Order: sequence, then C-alpha cells, then structure tokens
Amino acid sequence: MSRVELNGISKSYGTTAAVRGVDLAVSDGEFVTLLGASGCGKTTCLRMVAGFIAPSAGSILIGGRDVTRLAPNRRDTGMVFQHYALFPHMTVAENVAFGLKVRRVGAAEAHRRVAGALELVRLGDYGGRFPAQLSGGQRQRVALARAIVIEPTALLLDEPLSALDSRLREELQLEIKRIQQGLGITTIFVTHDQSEALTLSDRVAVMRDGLIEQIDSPAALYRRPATSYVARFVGRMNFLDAVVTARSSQEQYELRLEGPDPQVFHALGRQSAAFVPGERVAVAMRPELVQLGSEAPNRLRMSVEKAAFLGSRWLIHGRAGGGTAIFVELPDGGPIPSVGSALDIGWRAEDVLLFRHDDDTRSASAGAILQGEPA
Amino acid sequence: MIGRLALRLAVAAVLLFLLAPLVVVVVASFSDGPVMAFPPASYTTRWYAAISDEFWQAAWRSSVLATVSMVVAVVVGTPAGITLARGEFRGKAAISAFCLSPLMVPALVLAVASYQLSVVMFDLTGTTYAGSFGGLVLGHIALTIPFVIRAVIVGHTHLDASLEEAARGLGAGPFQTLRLVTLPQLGPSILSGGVFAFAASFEDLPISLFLGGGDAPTLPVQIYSTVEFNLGADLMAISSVIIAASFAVLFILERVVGVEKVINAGKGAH
Ligand SMILES: Nc1ncnc2c1ncn2[C@@H]1O[C@H](COP(=O)(O)OP(=O)(O)OP(=O)(O)O)[C@@H](O)[C@H]1O
Ligand SMILES: [Mg+2]
Repeated sequence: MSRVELNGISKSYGTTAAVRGVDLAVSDGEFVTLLGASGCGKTTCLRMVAGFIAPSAGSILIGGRDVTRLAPNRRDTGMVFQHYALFPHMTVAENVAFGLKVRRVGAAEAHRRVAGALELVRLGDYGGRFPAQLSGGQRQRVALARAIVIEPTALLLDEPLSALDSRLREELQLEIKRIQQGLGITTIFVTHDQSEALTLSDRVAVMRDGLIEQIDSPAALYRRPATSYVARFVGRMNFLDAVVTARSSQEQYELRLEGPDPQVFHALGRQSAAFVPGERVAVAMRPELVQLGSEAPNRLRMSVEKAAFLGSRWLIHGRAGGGTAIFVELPDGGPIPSVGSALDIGWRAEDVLLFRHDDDTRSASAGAILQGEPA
Repeated sequence: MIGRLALRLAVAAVLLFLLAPLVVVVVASFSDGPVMAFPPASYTTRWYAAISDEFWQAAWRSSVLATVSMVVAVVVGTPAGITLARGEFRGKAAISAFCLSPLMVPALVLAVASYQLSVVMFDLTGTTYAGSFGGLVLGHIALTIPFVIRAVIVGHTHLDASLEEAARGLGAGPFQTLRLVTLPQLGPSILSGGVFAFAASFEDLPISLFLGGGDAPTLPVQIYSTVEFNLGADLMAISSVIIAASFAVLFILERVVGVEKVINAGKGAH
C-alpha cells in the first residue's frame, strides 16, 4: 500500500504564499501530474513530499505513514531532478547503486538489482561510464534507474524531460510510462507541458497560484474543464461573452451572444456551475470540434485572417462579428478557406461549455495561442 | 595571425621575466669560482656537497612544520569552510571575514601580534608558546587555515545543491552525504587549499622569525640569516634544491590531478 496524501499543505516564504492549502491523494500505483504555469507552486509541492522543504501547515502521508517531520532520507521516495543530479565522480553503475549502498544491501544483490535497473532503462552496457560521457537523454535514464532501483514507495519527478529536445522527450515519456506501469509505482510528476501531462497521467492536477484548480483524468480535464482557467490552460479554447436567456433543464441552456449581431446559442450537458437566466457567462468551444457550413448548429460567421499548417491539420485564425479572436482547426485534405474570406462555423450544443464570467476569460483566446499543442 | 604572434611573444616575455631569476640561481649554483659570477667561467657540483648540515636540518624542520600546518589547516579549515559556505546563521559575514583576515593582513602584522600575545601570556602565566616548535606550529596554523577555508568556500559555491538532495532522497544521512558526495566534490578545492597552505608555511619568514626558537630556525630564517653575512654559492645550491623540489611537487600534482584544476579548484571541477 503506497498512497501519497497531502492534507492542507501550505508553504509561505515571508509574506508570499507559494502553496496555499493543497489537498491531494494519489492512490497506489497511480500516476498524477501537477501541471501549471511557472511559479504556481508545483516544485514547492513536490519538494515538500520529498522532504527538502518543510510545509508551513498541513501534513503529508506516504504509504499511510505521517512523514511531515521526517528527514528526506527517511521518506523512502525516489526523486528525479530536472538537471539529472548524477554524481559526477561515480560511474553509472555506482550512481545507480548509491541508494542500495546506503541501505546496506549486500554486494551480490545490489549488483543484480543495478544490472536489472540499467536493463530496464535500456542502458545495460553503460554501467562503467561516467555521467560526463553520456547524452542528456541517457543521463536522465540513469537518474530514473537510480530512483527506481531502491523500490521507493513514491516516485517524484520534477520536470525531468524539460532539458531534452522534443523528440527525445516523447521517447522518454513512453519509457517513463512503460516503467511506471510495469513496476506499478505511485508517481507524482511535475511539468508545465500540458501535452506531456495528458500523455502520461492517470490524473492531472492543474495548479494555479498555489492551489489545485482541478484534478481529473486527462479526458475529463480536456472535455469538461471545471474553470475557464483550466479550459484555457489545457488545449486551445475559444471564448465568447453571452447572457443566459433560458434554462429548460439542469443541463440545457439558451444563450444570447453579446455583440453587434446577437446570435442565439444552445448548450447541452453538465456545466461547470449552475447559471440563472440573465447571468453573464463565458461560452467556450474547442477549435477542433468546429462544424462548417450554413447548416451548422450554434452558427457564427468569422472572417479569416490567417491559416497555419500544423501537419495533420490547419489552424485558422480570424475574428467573429464583434472582433473577438476565433481559432478553428480543420483537417488537412479538406477545403481550406482563403485569407480574407468569410467562413460559416458552428458547434454542436454538446460541445458548448459555459463558465462563470470573470477576468480570466478576458484575454482568454489571445492566451490560448501561447499554449502548446493539445495532445 | 599577427594577433597570435603578438600573444606568443607576450607569453614568452612573461615566462622569461618569471623564470630568469630561477635560471640565474641554478646556473650560479654550478659556478666554479670564489665569487658569484654569471655566466660562470667553469662548472662544478662541489657547492652541493658544501651545503652545510644546518641547511638540511632547517629544510627538514620547515618541511615538517609545513606538513603539520597543512594537515591541521585541512582538517580544521574544511569543515569550517563548508559551514561558512552553507550555513545561514547570524554573524556569518563577520565570522567569515574574521576567518579569512590573515589573508588580508601582512604576515608581519600577524607575526608581531602573535608575539605580543605570547608576551602577554608569559606575563600572566609565566609560560608561553613563543620560542618553541609548538609555538611555531600554532602561528603557522593561523597563517594557513584561511587558505583552506577560502578554497573550500569557493569550491562550495560551484557545487550543485541538487547532488546533496539526490543523496538525501536516496536514503543517505547528512554525514553519509558529506562523506560520499560533498567531500569528493570538494576534493580539488581542498587539495588546492592544502597546497597553498603548505607553500605559505614553507616560505614564511616573519612568523618564524618572531615565534621560532633561535636555535632551531626554519629554512627561510636560516637562509635569511646566512644572506646577512655572505651570498655564497652554497646558498645558490640550496635554493636550487628548493626549486627542484617545487618542480617535482608540481609535476606530481600535474600527473595526479592536473595543476590547472588545483589552481582554479572548484571553478569547474568536472
Ligand atoms: N526559497 C524561496 N523563497 C521565496 N519564494 C520562493 C522560494 N521558492 C519558491 N518561491 C516562490 O514560490 C512560488 C512557487 O515556486 P515553485 O518553484 O514551486 O514554482 P513552480 O510551479 O515549480 O514553477 P516553475 O514551473 O517555474 O518551476 C514562486 O512564486 C516562487 O517565486
Ligand atoms: Mg518548478
């Protein structure tokens, strides 16, 4: 049993609060990612679990044991650092053996386990090399082997792939997932790369300003974000301002878009909150769920300003009637609208999401383009 | 092209400037004449045979003194340096400045101060350290510790803090982490501090003059007092022996760790 639990964990530095009461339960063998913008407190959280930072408040349980006041070497975690942190004066094999040595594991067993761990990260022949003689990807594999060879209760990784180029990163993502699943090891992974988070995780916790904004499976996070912040942070999202005109059931809304040509929109499905007629809301639609043509439901007309080729699809960038920026994604091979033309677009009612109207949504669409590609 | 040539000429000029005195000393030590002549009219090795026992004894005394000072400086200075580099405590800057102050003040000041302290101690207790080998060792430790502390502090600033965290995370206690990760990383810095400590002690004149016993001089004191009376070729011979020994030490260091690494210890240990 190797659950990891954070109960009301906070950390303040003087007057600034880095983490403000995080509750998180990672179950046995689960892979949870902390995802969030720079400075939101991901590293602080992870380092509190590892024991390098003492929380200002709250408690941490690893495998049912309260470790809040325990030194890092008593916590039985395996940590992988962004910049590898391999011991430069030791060979690869000695690095991997380090945790076994300080645990006084016998030489024969240590040798066998080191060989096994190096085999697992596909570096069986590299035991005699020094870290300086390895590539970045190989170094991080060694760091991974060193962390898992001690069979820790929890594996902690802080942006382990961010120093690697994108191809290597994808390759190592698969490796980490394969090894983590094979060993069934409880894992907390930190990244600010949303596609990495979606690819790897059983659940993703989106953090913002020292708090977890939403924790859910990658699909749920993507399809039904709990807040406009999450909607914007994970994948691209279009936002339009609207007013609720009618609510015919719990999951059925009629809306009127704000702007020069008021359109009527319908939304169907579970929403992030309950809204009442007359309330201002943010209406959100994924670019890739767009439907084309004058028959499309929840229809808008956009003027096309730019078409960018993304490989398998096109990203069309333009503006709706009120001047709001709109993105739509179209598969390659279909007709691609020319710049300057008008395009009829729409979304199914099931694909229209509603969020509370707050400051987040203001620069939302502009912010969306800064995020990487959705998975 | 021109730039590179100019650079080479400049390097050659500096080398000539630095090495010329050494060459003169070594050549003069082989000069076969009653007075120092350069270049010598003819050559001999008899000055080496003529080096008096006093010189050899003084050289041995200085070597022992420098070795003891270096060992104590390393043993005391390493933990002190690590503490000063890593600790967050009140008065850290002041303590740090105090520990490094012997590097800032001339050795002569240190010597006079140590001597005065020994006089005060004699007045108060009737016994004191000056005039004995033990007193000399104490004075030289004060002289040499800062070299090790400084080297360790500099080396520590170049350490990757996540290495120690990695060790702790893998189950190593604070002491194991120090022994298995921190100290090996600081090795070149400590060695560097030790080499400088040894050299500082071996060549020190003022402290040895003030604190040493008159009947057991260190090599610099012995040379100094000899020079007062004559500048003989045997002096050139013993100087040449020191030069040879220094080159031997440098050669061994170069072979074992690389001189550059020792001199810039810690700057980029790997
Ligand atoms: N030692 C410290 N002293 C003061 N403030 C700190 C300290 N460490 C972190 N912070 C602050 O706490 C907040 C969270 O930092 P943290 O390193 O956890 O962010 P992060 O989510 O890991 O960001 P990134 O993606 O950039 O690594 C930041 O605003 C940071 O400035
Ligand atoms: Mg971070």
